[in-house]
Amino acid sequence: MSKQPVSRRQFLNYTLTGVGGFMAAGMLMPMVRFAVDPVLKGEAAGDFHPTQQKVSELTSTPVRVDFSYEQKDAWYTSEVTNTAWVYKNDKGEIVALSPVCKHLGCTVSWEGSGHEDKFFCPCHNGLYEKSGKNVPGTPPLKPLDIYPTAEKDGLLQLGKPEANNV
Amino acid sequence: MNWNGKDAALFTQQKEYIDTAVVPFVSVDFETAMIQSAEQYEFIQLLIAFLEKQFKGRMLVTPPHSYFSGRDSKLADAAEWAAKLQKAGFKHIFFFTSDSFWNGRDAEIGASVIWVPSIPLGAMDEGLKYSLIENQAKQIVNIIVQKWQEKAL
Repeated sequence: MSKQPVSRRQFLNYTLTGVGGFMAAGMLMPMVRFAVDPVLKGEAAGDFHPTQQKVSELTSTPVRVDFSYEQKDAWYTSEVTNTAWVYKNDKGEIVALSPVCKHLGCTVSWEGSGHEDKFFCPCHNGLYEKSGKNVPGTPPLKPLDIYPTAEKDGLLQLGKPEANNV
Repeated sequence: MNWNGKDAALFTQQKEYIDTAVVPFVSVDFETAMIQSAEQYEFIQLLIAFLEKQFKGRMLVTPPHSYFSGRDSKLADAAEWAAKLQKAGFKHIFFFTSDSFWNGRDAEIGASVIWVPSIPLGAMDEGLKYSLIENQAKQIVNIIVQKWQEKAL
């Protein structure tokens, strides 16, 4: 222990700086955290669900891929099963389309009821091109939604459906 | 469409497109047939959930009609359901049930009865359950599409 005496003035200076520092930090920290939050969130955005579909087995013909995950609906947790129509386009990119008809939400099928090279909705005879583009003159007014895709260990992963701009 | 506020609002806007009503018919018993009655209900609910997903935009699923199996006025009650739905503008009315009482009574009631023998799903694995229901539902999908085409012609 040093024998140097601490004067009253020094003591008050030290304590006030310390306490004031804590108070300033207490105010500034949340502000800084709010400011950087969008940046941190960007990293966690990859909310992909795994499927059993091997990416190497995809061809230019759309195939049905089912995938399920747990969904919480208020207090009710349920296993949700979703479907996608997946194929490789001319450029070799993977295209995963949502099967939910943009008219009133029925499930469309590839080449259903003999409509060649089209997605067909059995409810009100809606038609979509292979790219998901709605055929004018049929009830749907928008193209089929598209899933963001990712690959992990050779298996396809699908994100949340987004609006399609074809 | 399901029986909830959001779908009901959409239904009132898009009425001309939704011409099919689906009513689950479930018998209720608290004695010997309780387990059977519960199993049938579970099965029918899952089956209808699958169909609703397929045909959301043309089909309204109502709350289930439940009745005690010994009830006398079963046929009259069913006929009232059919009459009410017809009045509401539904062209295709389907009663889904696992209760064999309704088998072949379409004409008496005035609606299409789809009788599906229920499978005890009990402790079945999720994946197996799903594929089982899906197989059953696919056959029913065909029946419904066929009915739609019959009346369209």
